[in-house]
Amino acid sequence: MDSALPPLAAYAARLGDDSLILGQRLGEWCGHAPALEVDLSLSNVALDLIGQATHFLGLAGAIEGAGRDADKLAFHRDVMDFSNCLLVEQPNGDFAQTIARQFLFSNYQALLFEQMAQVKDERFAPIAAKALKEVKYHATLASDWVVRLGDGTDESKTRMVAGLNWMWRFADELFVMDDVDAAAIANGAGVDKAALRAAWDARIDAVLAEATLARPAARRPIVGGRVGRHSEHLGHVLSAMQFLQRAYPGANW
Amino acid sequence: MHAADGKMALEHARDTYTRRMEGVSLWVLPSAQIIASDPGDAAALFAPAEDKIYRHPTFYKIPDGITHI
Repeated sequence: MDSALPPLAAYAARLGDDSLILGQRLGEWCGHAPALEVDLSLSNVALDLIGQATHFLGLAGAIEGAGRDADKLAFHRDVMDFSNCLLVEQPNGDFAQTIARQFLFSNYQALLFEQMAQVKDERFAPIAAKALKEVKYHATLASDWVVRLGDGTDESKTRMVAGLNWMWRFADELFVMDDVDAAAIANGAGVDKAALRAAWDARIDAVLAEATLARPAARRPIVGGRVGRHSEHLGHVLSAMQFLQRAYPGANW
Repeated sequence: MHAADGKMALEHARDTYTRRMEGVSLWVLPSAQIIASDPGDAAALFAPAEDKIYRHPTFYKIPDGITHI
Protein backbone atom coordinates (compact mmCIF):
# COMPACT_ATOMS: atom_id res chain seq x y z
CA MET A 1 0.00 0.00 0.00
CA ASP A 2 1.14 3.51 -0.73
CA SER A 3 1.85 4.53 2.86
CA ALA A 4 1.89 8.20 1.84
CA LEU A 5 -1.84 8.18 1.09
CA PRO A 6 -4.30 9.35 3.76
CA PRO A 7 -7.02 6.76 4.53
CA LEU A 8 -9.76 8.09 2.24
CA ALA A 9 -7.29 8.46 -0.61
CA ALA A 10 -6.08 4.92 0.03
CA TYR A 11 -9.69 3.75 -0.06
CA ALA A 12 -10.26 5.41 -3.43
CA ALA A 13 -6.95 4.02 -4.72
CA ARG A 14 -7.97 0.47 -3.81
CA LEU A 15 -11.17 0.84 -5.80
CA GLY A 16 -9.28 2.39 -8.70
CA ASP A 17 -6.52 -0.22 -8.65
CA ASP A 18 -9.03 -3.10 -8.73
CA SER A 19 -10.67 -1.66 -11.84
CA LEU A 20 -7.41 -0.62 -13.47
CA ILE A 21 -5.63 -3.94 -13.16
CA LEU A 22 -8.63 -6.01 -14.23
CA GLY A 23 -9.18 -3.63 -17.14
CA GLN A 24 -5.57 -4.07 -18.19
CA ARG A 25 -5.87 -7.85 -17.88
CA LEU A 26 -9.00 -7.96 -20.04
CA GLY A 27 -7.28 -5.69 -22.55
CA GLU A 28 -4.74 -8.45 -23.09
CA TRP A 29 -7.51 -10.40 -24.84
CA CYS A 30 -7.92 -7.69 -27.50
CA GLY A 31 -7.23 -9.41 -30.82
CA HIS A 32 -6.90 -12.83 -29.18
CA ALA A 33 -10.38 -13.76 -27.99
CA PRO A 34 -12.10 -16.97 -29.20
CA ALA A 35 -14.44 -15.00 -31.49
CA LEU A 36 -14.75 -11.45 -32.74
CA GLU A 37 -17.91 -10.95 -30.72
CA VAL A 38 -16.20 -12.12 -27.52
CA ASP A 39 -13.22 -9.91 -28.32
CA LEU A 40 -15.60 -6.94 -28.30
CA SER A 41 -17.35 -8.10 -25.12
CA LEU A 42 -14.09 -8.34 -23.20
CA SER A 43 -12.76 -5.06 -24.58
CA ASN A 44 -15.99 -3.30 -23.64
CA VAL A 45 -15.75 -4.55 -20.08
CA ALA A 46 -12.08 -3.50 -20.01
CA LEU A 47 -12.95 0.02 -21.10
CA ASP A 48 -15.71 0.30 -18.50
CA LEU A 49 -13.22 -0.73 -15.83
CA ILE A 50 -10.54 1.69 -16.99
CA GLY A 51 -13.14 4.46 -16.92
CA GLN A 52 -13.92 3.57 -13.30
CA ALA A 53 -10.21 3.56 -12.52
CA THR A 54 -9.84 7.03 -14.00
CA HIS A 55 -12.55 8.34 -11.67
CA PHE A 56 -11.37 6.58 -8.50
CA LEU A 57 -7.65 7.25 -9.02
CA GLY A 58 -8.41 10.86 -9.90
CA LEU A 59 -10.33 11.09 -6.63
CA ALA A 60 -7.46 9.45 -4.72
CA GLY A 61 -5.05 12.01 -6.12
CA ALA A 62 -7.40 14.89 -5.35
CA ILE A 63 -7.85 13.76 -1.74
CA GLU A 64 -4.10 13.30 -1.36
CA GLY A 65 -3.63 16.86 -2.58
CA ALA A 66 -0.04 16.36 -3.73
CA GLY A 67 -0.66 17.07 -7.40
CA ARG A 68 -0.91 13.47 -8.59
CA ASP A 69 -3.66 12.78 -11.13
CA ALA A 70 -5.07 9.42 -12.25
CA ASP A 71 -2.38 8.94 -14.90
CA LYS A 72 0.39 9.69 -12.43
CA LEU A 73 -1.01 7.11 -10.02
CA ALA A 74 -1.58 4.52 -12.74
CA PHE A 75 1.74 4.80 -14.54
CA HIS A 76 4.23 6.02 -11.96
CA ARG A 77 3.73 3.74 -8.98
CA ASP A 78 5.59 0.50 -8.45
CA VAL A 79 4.18 -2.91 -7.55
CA MET A 80 4.18 -2.50 -3.79
CA ASP A 81 2.25 0.77 -3.99
CA PHE A 82 -0.66 -0.91 -5.79
CA SER A 83 -3.51 -1.94 -3.53
CA ASN A 84 -5.70 -4.01 -5.84
CA CYS A 85 -6.96 -7.36 -4.63
CA LEU A 86 -5.01 -10.41 -5.76
CA LEU A 87 -7.95 -11.77 -7.76
CA VAL A 88 -7.80 -9.12 -10.49
CA GLU A 89 -4.08 -9.58 -11.20
CA GLN A 90 -4.40 -13.33 -11.78
CA PRO A 91 -3.43 -14.47 -15.27
CA ASN A 92 -6.07 -14.68 -17.99
CA GLY A 93 -5.37 -18.37 -18.60
CA ASP A 94 -7.91 -19.68 -21.07
CA PHE A 95 -11.29 -18.06 -21.69
CA ALA A 96 -12.92 -20.04 -18.88
CA GLN A 97 -10.31 -18.87 -16.35
CA THR A 98 -10.88 -15.27 -17.43
CA ILE A 99 -14.63 -15.75 -17.06
CA ALA A 100 -14.19 -17.32 -13.61
CA ARG A 101 -12.27 -14.23 -12.45
CA GLN A 102 -14.87 -11.89 -13.94
CA PHE A 103 -17.74 -13.86 -12.45
CA LEU A 104 -16.36 -13.69 -8.91
CA PHE A 105 -15.25 -10.08 -9.18
CA SER A 106 -18.19 -8.48 -11.01
CA ASN A 107 -20.71 -10.01 -8.64
CA TYR A 108 -18.72 -8.56 -5.75
CA GLN A 109 -18.37 -5.17 -7.43
CA ALA A 110 -22.10 -5.00 -8.19
CA LEU A 111 -22.97 -5.56 -4.53
CA LEU A 112 -20.28 -3.08 -3.43
CA PHE A 113 -21.44 -0.31 -5.77
CA GLU A 114 -25.11 -0.86 -4.93
CA GLN A 115 -24.20 0.14 -1.38
CA MET A 116 -21.64 2.79 -2.28
CA ALA A 117 -24.11 4.57 -4.55
CA GLN A 118 -26.02 5.43 -1.38
CA VAL A 119 -23.21 6.67 0.89
CA LYS A 120 -23.21 10.26 2.11
CA ASP A 121 -19.92 11.25 0.51
CA GLU A 122 -20.75 13.18 -2.66
CA ARG A 123 -17.54 12.15 -4.41
CA PHE A 124 -17.73 8.38 -4.00
CA ALA A 125 -21.50 7.90 -4.43
CA PRO A 126 -21.83 9.30 -7.99
CA ILE A 127 -18.87 7.26 -9.29
CA ALA A 128 -20.40 4.13 -7.80
CA ALA A 129 -23.84 4.94 -9.21
CA LYS A 130 -22.45 5.34 -12.73
CA ALA A 131 -20.25 2.26 -12.45
CA LEU A 132 -23.11 0.15 -11.10
CA LYS A 133 -24.89 0.27 -14.46
CA GLU A 134 -21.77 -1.07 -16.15
CA VAL A 135 -20.98 -3.67 -13.54
CA LYS A 136 -24.48 -5.17 -13.50
CA TYR A 137 -23.98 -6.00 -17.16
CA HIS A 138 -20.50 -7.43 -16.49
CA ALA A 139 -21.97 -9.70 -13.83
CA THR A 140 -24.75 -10.85 -16.16
CA LEU A 141 -22.33 -11.48 -19.01
CA ALA A 142 -19.87 -13.43 -16.87
CA SER A 143 -22.64 -15.42 -15.17
CA ASP A 144 -24.13 -16.38 -18.55
CA TRP A 145 -20.76 -17.68 -19.70
CA VAL A 146 -20.28 -19.67 -16.49
CA VAL A 147 -23.58 -21.42 -17.22
CA ARG A 148 -22.76 -21.98 -20.90
CA LEU A 149 -19.31 -23.37 -20.20
CA GLY A 150 -20.24 -25.25 -17.04
CA ASP A 151 -23.33 -26.84 -18.58
CA GLY A 152 -21.73 -27.17 -22.02
CA THR A 153 -19.44 -29.87 -23.34
CA ASP A 154 -17.12 -32.11 -21.31
CA GLU A 155 -14.23 -29.93 -22.46
CA SER A 156 -15.85 -26.63 -21.55
CA LYS A 157 -16.95 -27.98 -18.17
CA THR A 158 -13.43 -29.22 -17.39
CA ARG A 159 -12.04 -25.80 -18.24
CA MET A 160 -14.68 -23.92 -16.26
CA VAL A 161 -14.02 -26.06 -13.18
CA ALA A 162 -10.26 -25.50 -13.54
CA GLY A 163 -10.76 -21.76 -13.93
CA LEU A 164 -12.92 -21.53 -10.82
CA ASN A 165 -10.42 -23.64 -8.88
CA TRP A 166 -7.64 -21.24 -9.83
CA MET A 167 -9.54 -18.12 -8.81
CA TRP A 168 -11.44 -19.38 -5.79
CA ARG A 169 -8.65 -18.93 -3.20
CA PHE A 170 -8.56 -15.19 -3.98
CA ALA A 171 -12.27 -14.58 -3.36
CA ASP A 172 -12.11 -14.21 0.43
CA GLU A 173 -9.83 -11.19 0.16
CA LEU A 174 -12.65 -9.25 -1.48
CA PHE A 175 -14.52 -9.16 1.82
CA VAL A 176 -11.66 -8.48 4.25
CA MET A 177 -12.07 -5.30 6.29
CA ASP A 178 -9.25 -3.25 7.81
CA ASP A 179 -8.49 0.26 9.16
CA VAL A 180 -8.80 1.89 5.74
CA ASP A 181 -12.31 0.47 5.34
CA ALA A 182 -13.25 1.53 8.86
CA ALA A 183 -12.02 5.07 8.23
CA ALA A 184 -13.96 5.25 4.97
CA ILE A 185 -17.15 4.08 6.68
CA ALA A 186 -16.64 6.59 9.52
CA ASN A 187 -16.33 9.33 6.87
CA GLY A 188 -19.56 8.32 5.13
CA ALA A 189 -17.76 7.00 2.04
CA GLY A 190 -17.14 3.33 2.74
CA VAL A 191 -19.10 0.09 2.56
CA ASP A 192 -19.05 -2.82 5.00
CA LYS A 193 -17.67 -5.42 2.59
CA ALA A 194 -17.92 -8.24 5.11
CA ALA A 195 -21.68 -7.69 5.15
CA LEU A 196 -21.85 -8.32 1.39
CA ARG A 197 -20.58 -11.88 1.71
CA ALA A 198 -23.91 -13.63 2.26
CA ALA A 199 -25.53 -11.97 -0.76
CA TRP A 200 -22.45 -12.73 -2.87
CA ASP A 201 -22.49 -16.38 -1.81
CA ALA A 202 -26.17 -16.61 -2.75
CA ARG A 203 -25.58 -15.13 -6.21
CA ILE A 204 -22.55 -17.29 -6.88
CA ASP A 205 -24.27 -20.46 -5.68
CA ALA A 206 -27.36 -19.79 -7.80
CA VAL A 207 -25.29 -19.47 -10.97
CA LEU A 208 -23.13 -22.48 -10.12
CA ALA A 209 -26.28 -24.56 -9.59
CA GLU A 210 -27.63 -23.51 -12.99
CA ALA A 211 -24.23 -24.32 -14.49
CA THR A 212 -24.35 -27.80 -12.90
CA LEU A 213 -21.09 -27.00 -11.11
CA ALA A 214 -20.15 -27.72 -7.52
CA ARG A 215 -18.87 -24.85 -5.39
CA PRO A 216 -15.07 -25.26 -5.18
CA ALA A 217 -13.88 -26.62 -1.84
CA ALA A 218 -12.93 -23.99 0.74
CA ARG A 219 -9.21 -23.44 0.88
CA ARG A 220 -6.85 -21.29 2.86
CA PRO A 221 -7.49 -17.82 1.49
CA ILE A 222 -4.57 -15.86 0.05
CA VAL A 223 -4.63 -12.18 0.98
CA GLY A 224 -2.24 -9.22 1.00
CA GLY A 225 -3.02 -7.23 -2.14
CA ARG A 226 -4.60 -4.37 -0.19
CA VAL A 227 -1.31 -3.72 1.61
CA GLY A 228 0.93 -4.19 -1.42
CA ARG A 229 1.87 -7.86 -1.03
CA HIS A 230 1.22 -9.06 -4.54
CA SER A 231 1.67 -12.21 -6.54
CA GLU A 232 4.48 -12.49 -9.07
CA HIS A 233 1.98 -11.59 -11.79
CA LEU A 234 1.38 -7.93 -11.03
CA GLY A 235 4.89 -6.80 -11.91
CA HIS A 236 4.49 -8.28 -15.38
CA VAL A 237 1.13 -6.55 -15.80
CA LEU A 238 2.71 -3.23 -14.85
CA SER A 239 5.73 -3.70 -17.09
CA ALA A 240 3.42 -3.82 -20.10
CA MET A 241 0.98 -1.18 -18.84
CA GLN A 242 3.56 1.34 -17.69
CA PHE A 243 6.22 0.88 -20.37
CA LEU A 244 5.34 3.90 -22.47
CA GLN A 245 5.14 6.36 -19.58
CA ARG A 246 8.33 4.98 -18.06
CA ALA A 247 10.20 5.26 -21.36
CA TYR A 248 8.68 8.60 -22.38
CA PRO A 249 7.52 10.33 -19.19
CA GLY A 250 4.64 12.73 -19.75
CA ALA A 251 3.98 11.58 -23.33
CA ASN A 252 0.37 12.08 -24.40
CA TRP A 253 -1.79 11.78 -27.52
CA MET B 1 -23.84 -11.95 -35.01
CA HIS B 2 -22.39 -15.40 -34.52
CA ALA B 3 -24.10 -16.82 -31.46
CA ALA B 4 -25.40 -20.10 -30.10
CA ASP B 5 -28.84 -18.71 -29.29
CA GLY B 6 -30.90 -15.56 -29.08
CA LYS B 7 -29.71 -14.51 -25.65
CA MET B 8 -26.05 -14.69 -26.64
CA ALA B 9 -26.84 -12.87 -29.88
CA LEU B 10 -28.51 -10.07 -27.93
CA GLU B 11 -25.45 -9.65 -25.69
CA HIS B 12 -23.12 -9.73 -28.68
CA ALA B 13 -25.31 -7.22 -30.51
CA ARG B 14 -25.24 -4.91 -27.51
CA ASP B 15 -21.44 -5.12 -27.34
CA THR B 16 -20.94 -4.74 -31.07
CA TYR B 17 -23.53 -2.26 -32.24
CA THR B 18 -24.28 0.06 -29.33
CA ARG B 19 -20.74 1.04 -28.33
CA ARG B 20 -21.00 4.46 -29.93
CA MET B 21 -24.49 5.16 -28.62
CA GLU B 22 -26.12 4.03 -31.88
CA GLY B 23 -28.85 2.05 -30.21
CA VAL B 24 -31.93 2.56 -28.09
CA SER B 25 -33.30 -0.94 -28.63
CA LEU B 26 -32.20 -4.25 -30.11
CA TRP B 27 -34.05 -6.89 -32.12
CA VAL B 28 -32.54 -10.28 -32.81
CA LEU B 29 -33.78 -12.88 -35.26
CA PRO B 30 -32.14 -15.88 -36.94
CA SER B 31 -30.55 -14.94 -40.26
CA ALA B 32 -32.45 -17.82 -41.91
CA GLN B 33 -35.66 -15.92 -41.18
CA ILE B 34 -34.56 -12.78 -43.02
CA ILE B 35 -35.98 -12.31 -46.49
CA ALA B 36 -33.50 -10.17 -48.39
CA SER B 37 -33.32 -8.61 -51.82
CA ASP B 38 -30.94 -10.14 -54.34
CA PRO B 39 -27.87 -7.93 -54.90
CA GLY B 40 -28.22 -8.83 -58.59
CA ASP B 41 -31.50 -6.93 -58.63
CA ALA B 42 -29.94 -3.82 -57.12
CA ALA B 43 -30.03 -1.83 -60.35
CA ALA B 44 -33.70 -2.48 -60.97
CA LEU B 45 -34.63 -1.85 -57.36
CA PHE B 46 -32.59 1.19 -56.49
CA ALA B 47 -31.16 2.90 -59.59
CA PRO B 48 -34.46 4.53 -60.61
CA ALA B 49 -34.24 6.74 -57.52
CA GLU B 50 -30.85 8.15 -58.51
CA ASP B 51 -32.19 10.98 -60.73
CA LYS B 52 -35.02 11.94 -58.44
CA ILE B 53 -33.09 14.20 -56.14
CA TYR B 54 -36.20 16.34 -55.71
CA ARG B 55 -37.40 13.74 -53.24
CA HIS B 56 -34.94 15.17 -50.76
CA PRO B 57 -36.47 18.28 -49.22
CA THR B 58 -33.32 20.31 -49.83
CA PHE B 59 -34.70 22.87 -52.28
CA TYR B 60 -36.57 24.91 -49.75
CA LYS B 61 -35.27 28.02 -48.07
CA ILE B 62 -35.47 27.48 -44.31
CA PRO B 63 -36.57 30.62 -42.45
CA ASP B 64 -34.14 31.88 -39.83
CA GLY B 65 -34.71 30.54 -36.35
CA ILE B 66 -36.14 27.19 -37.41
CA THR B 67 -34.26 24.37 -35.75
CA HIS B 68 -34.46 20.58 -35.83
CA ILE B 69 -35.06 20.37 -39.56
